[in-house]
Amino acid sequence: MADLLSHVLTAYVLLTVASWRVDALTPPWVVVGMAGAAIPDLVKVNIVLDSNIVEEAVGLPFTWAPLSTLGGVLFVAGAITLVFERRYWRRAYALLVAGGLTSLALDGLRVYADGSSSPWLYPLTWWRPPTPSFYVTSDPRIAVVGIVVAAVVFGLDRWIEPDSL
Amino acid sequence: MHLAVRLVAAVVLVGLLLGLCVQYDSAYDENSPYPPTDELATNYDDYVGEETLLFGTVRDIEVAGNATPPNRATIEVDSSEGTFEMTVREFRGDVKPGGVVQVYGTLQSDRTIEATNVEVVNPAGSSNLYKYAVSAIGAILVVALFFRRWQFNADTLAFEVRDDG
Repeated sequence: MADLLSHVLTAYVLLTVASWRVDALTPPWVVVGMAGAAIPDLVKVNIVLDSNIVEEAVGLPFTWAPLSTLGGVLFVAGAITLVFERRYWRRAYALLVAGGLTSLALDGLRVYADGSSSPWLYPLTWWRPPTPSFYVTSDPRIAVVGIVVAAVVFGLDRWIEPDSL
Repeated sequence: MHLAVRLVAAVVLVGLLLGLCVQYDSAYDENSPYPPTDELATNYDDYVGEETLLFGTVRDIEVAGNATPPNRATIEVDSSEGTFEMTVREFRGDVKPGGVVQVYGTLQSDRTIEATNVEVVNPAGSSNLYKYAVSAIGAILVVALFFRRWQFNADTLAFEVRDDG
């Protein structure tokens, strides 16, 4: 996956630009979208709790991979939504999912040696969408581009809407 | 919303998520176009001649004949049946031992893969450190921005938008 910082900055850029047109998209909601963008990165829980260890403990096949798929985003976003007050649920869920989907789409552009990305639309389909193989996450230019674009949008946002992040 | 209702909903959502984690791993092999890596670890010879995509850690890069740059590599591939070694022929990639590559190619006898395409995911073992460091910055950024815009309401036991947010 792209690194977590690039995920979060991408959501920031897209949602901030959208907020210039959509009044309901105030700074607290842009932040919720950024948090949603981090959901697919939860797949890295594997570093702390290896899926093979879970497999041995419960005696069932197990992988954290779905955290970085459509199904994982929909369920995790649902669980996170519950920490908000009831009146915010609908909007919180929508933004968490939107953020998660931008990260999945960004990850779908990563390099794969056979030209197809991971089946990130699971469980809808096991189809592996074709990837243009734009980048690998270890390439520092990815984070640099993310930081520069986010800084430009941050500056524009200050100018367009003084009360912002 | 009543705390008990939220807790039950959270347990249900996490349960559904864990269900996906089991289902994904159970169904992965039959939905993958390539031989399962566990099978390559245990019954390699059954799959000679098939195409596959391997993720491996580079152990060694060497020269076969007098080719420059080096065109043969030894990689270690993880599976839940343990790690196994593969020799990669027609290897092309700027990578150090400890780096991670994707190899797309055809399986040959003696745990050798004839590469049609090699992509370097991590040019060196230190690449993961870079990714984790950048990701940690992203995580801190989201948490900091979140608490700047949201506060925990002890009465509702849920987050609400800060008055000044």
